[in-house]
Amino acid sequence: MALAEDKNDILNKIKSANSINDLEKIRIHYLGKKGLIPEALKGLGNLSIEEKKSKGQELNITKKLIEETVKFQKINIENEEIEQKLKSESIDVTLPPNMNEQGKIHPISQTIFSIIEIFGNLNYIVETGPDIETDFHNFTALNIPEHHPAREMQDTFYVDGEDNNILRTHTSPVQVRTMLNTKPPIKIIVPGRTYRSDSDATHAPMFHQVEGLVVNESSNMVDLKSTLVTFLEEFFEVKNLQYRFRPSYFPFTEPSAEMDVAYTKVNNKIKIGEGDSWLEILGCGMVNPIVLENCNIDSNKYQGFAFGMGIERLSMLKYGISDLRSFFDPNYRWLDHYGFSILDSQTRSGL
Amino acid sequence: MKFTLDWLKDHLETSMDLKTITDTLTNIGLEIESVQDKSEDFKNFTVAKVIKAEKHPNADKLKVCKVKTIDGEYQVVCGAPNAKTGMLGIFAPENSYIPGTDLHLKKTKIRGVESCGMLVSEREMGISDEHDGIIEVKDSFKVGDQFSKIFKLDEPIIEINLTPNRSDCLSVRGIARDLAAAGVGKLKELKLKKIKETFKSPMKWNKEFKDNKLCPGVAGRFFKNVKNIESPKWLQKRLIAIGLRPISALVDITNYVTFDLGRPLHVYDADKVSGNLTMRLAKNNEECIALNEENYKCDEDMIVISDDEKSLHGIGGVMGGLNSGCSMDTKNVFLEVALFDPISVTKTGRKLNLQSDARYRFERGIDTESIYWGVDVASQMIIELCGGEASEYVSSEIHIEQKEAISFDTNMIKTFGGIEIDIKEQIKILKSLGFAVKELKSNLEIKTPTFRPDIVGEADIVEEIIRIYGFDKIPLKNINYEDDKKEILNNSIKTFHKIKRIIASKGYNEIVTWSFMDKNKAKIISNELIGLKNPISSDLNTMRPSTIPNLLAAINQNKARMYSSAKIFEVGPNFSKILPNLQENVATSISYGLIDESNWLSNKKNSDVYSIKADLFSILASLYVPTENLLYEKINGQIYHPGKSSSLRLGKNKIANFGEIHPILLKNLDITFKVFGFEIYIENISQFQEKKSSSKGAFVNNPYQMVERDFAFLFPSEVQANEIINLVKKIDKNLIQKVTIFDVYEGDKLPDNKKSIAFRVLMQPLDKTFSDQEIDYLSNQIINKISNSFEASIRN
Repeated sequence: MALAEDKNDILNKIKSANSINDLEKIRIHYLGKKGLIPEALKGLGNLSIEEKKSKGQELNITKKLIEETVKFQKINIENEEIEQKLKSESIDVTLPPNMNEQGKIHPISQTIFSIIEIFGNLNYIVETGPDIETDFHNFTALNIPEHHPAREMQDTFYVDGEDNNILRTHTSPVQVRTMLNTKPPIKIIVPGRTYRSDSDATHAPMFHQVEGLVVNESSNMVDLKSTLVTFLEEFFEVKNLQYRFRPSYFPFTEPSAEMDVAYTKVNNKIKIGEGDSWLEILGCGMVNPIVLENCNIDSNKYQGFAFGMGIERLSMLKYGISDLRSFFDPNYRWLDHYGFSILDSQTRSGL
Repeated sequence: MKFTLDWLKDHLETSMDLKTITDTLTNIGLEIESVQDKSEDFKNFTVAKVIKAEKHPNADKLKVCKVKTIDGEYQVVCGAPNAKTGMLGIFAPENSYIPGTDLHLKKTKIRGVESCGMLVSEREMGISDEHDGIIEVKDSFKVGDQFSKIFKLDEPIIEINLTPNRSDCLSVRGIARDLAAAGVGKLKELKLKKIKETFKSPMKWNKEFKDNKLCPGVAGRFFKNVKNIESPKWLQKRLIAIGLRPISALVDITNYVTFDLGRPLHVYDADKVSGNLTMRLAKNNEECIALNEENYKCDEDMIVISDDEKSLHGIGGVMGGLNSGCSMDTKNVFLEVALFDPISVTKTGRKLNLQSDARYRFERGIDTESIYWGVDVASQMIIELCGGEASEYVSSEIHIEQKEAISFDTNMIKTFGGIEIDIKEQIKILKSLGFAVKELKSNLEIKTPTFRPDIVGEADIVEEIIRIYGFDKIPLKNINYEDDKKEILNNSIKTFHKIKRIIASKGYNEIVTWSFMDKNKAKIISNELIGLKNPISSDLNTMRPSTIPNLLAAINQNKARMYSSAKIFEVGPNFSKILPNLQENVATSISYGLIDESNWLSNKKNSDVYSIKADLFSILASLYVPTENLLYEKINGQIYHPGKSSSLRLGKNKIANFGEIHPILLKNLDITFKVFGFEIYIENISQFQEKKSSSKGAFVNNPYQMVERDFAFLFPSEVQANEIINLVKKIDKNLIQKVTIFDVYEGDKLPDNKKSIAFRVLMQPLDKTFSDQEIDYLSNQIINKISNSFEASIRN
């Protein structure tokens, strides 16, 4: 039996099938066990070798063509069915999603992270010490004897018991601990909690400081001033910071200095780095040789500098927070407003 | 420390303007606190001319005046008898603030006649008590001249924020000296006239001390036939400007010399003292009524001034006595110019809780030489203002210790300060500050002036030279440190900070709360409390034994802000008597209310022990804690629900606690719903932060088919899931990869005290695909082991 139809007619028939069922019928009609193509192939047995060869080839080409077209049409029909189904499958995409929010980092921690990052890049290492301190570490070793008027600068919390322990009034006792425990060169910063019995709008009974100490054979006031200017420019992200570096007094440094940075207030927002007004930002100085000797360091051989600053103050200035007390008030709205994403880190690359 | 510009110019010859002076003060370490310009307060008040003054139509004692002012003519009703046509007075326009009466002036009608503004008296301007008439100014002034200029009220008042070392600058003269050294002018010589000593003092100064350091000396003079009067205007004005109340000439002189020269004085009404005066230590409970009219009980460490009848007339260096204080009737005066040990004065003042301008100066240290010149300065003023006659100089024995000279290596300016200052310049600065300098071969021999007790060593000399030379001249350099790069953070500090970001990543917001709390609440939690002797308030009187109560306190604080669920945490110290260093760092979190945001999509599931445990384990795993090795241990205490909590340990180390917060603790804090929490002990997990090599082991891709088998058993209720999992894993640590509990059931359908637990075991062959026999063998092992170990029966 011969395949009477034209190839193209067959293919058109396949392409116009619009259900899987119809398509299957057509396939069986041509390619099924008793379909036209297998029948035609059987019929070849009676032909001469040459005819067998040429007819056979032709039939096989037709068979392949039909197979491929069926396969292709099947995909088309399936896709068309999916398309039809999708038309009835629309949802309200404007409904709000259920977000699994991450928590936020408190601005005090964020500020400490920044400070550690900047000084870490200057090869400082971070040290810490206890909050409950001895009088020796907090005062005496730092050249603040018992009846020194400087003790009245700091309202001290006293701890119950006979040891006369106190809550450290500054992070400076960690200077003493470090100097007693390690040999120069020393290059540390000390962030941590500090306490003074003072409580009003601008004073909190607990706050945070960061202390810096460098002791070696040569660091002098040029190193001190340069370090602090570098730090402040990095911290506040300003170039050519306008500042004042002026003499002051701390019992544990000699000479002592304080640093003010210039600022302008525009629309109640503080801009650090330029302007006619000054904000006191830190205290510093050359480590008093008396303190070195108190910590068993030979002041004829070693010298160095120290500095200290309030973390809340730095944080308030950098992030525009106006109320010191708000840092310690667990107001969820405030935390959400001033808190930082865990991915928000101050690195140079911004990664 | 406050002073006026004209006062400063009594000691400093300068042509510099106010800004240069104040800028210089800050630059040399005398930081400006404020500069007050009173002329601003008085700028509305100007000279006006009374063109016409007529009797008020409806009042006999009032006048209606037509007044010509710089802003035009006004009608003013005035009651002053001296108001008359043609006079010049001081006009206050309407809406101006009248300082003497504390009123804002309004346009008004007085007895039917409109009055616009007023002509003011001295009292109304707050410059004296004079109120008999309005101010009349000389014809040489013209309409519109400023009141503040005419009455010299335009002197700027400068306040310095003085550091406690600079006792020498608790005097206007000391400030002038520093300014002169900094090149702002020339320090004027202190001119002292020779006092005419006309008689022998009938009173003596004695002192009785074993330790002469307590009171190195006391001196004075006797004055007879003085007349105590009101101080002259210039003196009153200066005292008022710095916030002191003028009292009488004798008292004002002592205050003036205190501030002018830093020399506290006392004047006794000699007629109220019996015999001589003696400085000595008080007897216990000896009483002294001080000038502030308080009765103070003294003790054996306090210096007092006593007369021959043993009455006390003052507390040395702190305050004089009330009974012998000078009054307007005082005729005869005995002067005290004393030196005291700063520590003794500090102790006395603190014990008595008594502050004074004298104490402030004595405890910071005053010029020892002032025991000589102080007597003369005071004598001169007393004679000038109050007349009378002065006796000879009288004093006790004087024991002043001479300070040793400082040997100063001029090279220190370079090595310490980092700058080069010529030796000649160094010497010039020191001399201008009152130091005596001798140039030796390799160094300077420096004698400290007696008014600088703060100078003790070479570092102080460096500061003196550089602060006058200018801290702003210290150059900057590039800080490219080449020292060894060390690990910035040790493991413990790294964990302390890093854990904050990890906990926040689980949805917890960080808060920072006080390290202290209320003892009454802390008592519930711990018996090893550390209290404060001087708490800021009774609800902050104990160091917190746990951070949980502070976190819980946030719950009700945020209720009003419509927060009914939250996750918060804090990383910080907890305190206990039994801890080394008395404290340990802990990361503490709580979670309550809905886990998800409450919206159409959420599963409305509340936080529970297992949700917080999931957070905890995920956090610990992020910090490389081997969570699979954690041992569970029951918590005893008042923080957690005893049946719904656990402590986690690794060996001896406590790693964490978690669970439901104890209902009694919640009740104490007025919390009416369940709260869940965990605590992580920072120091005990920091060992896992040890930095390992950043390269990882080779990846082995095991190609053999994994096999899963599910098992369900009926267990006695007390069997814990952890025991089951550990037991199964132990059967073959290599082949059994994972044991997952996928169903737990306790209830009616089961016998009493039984529960059903189903788990899935994931098995991974190592070197070839499992055969059926191998799988069966493992499965049977699991069934046998579980059944035998727990009296469990397999369910089908």
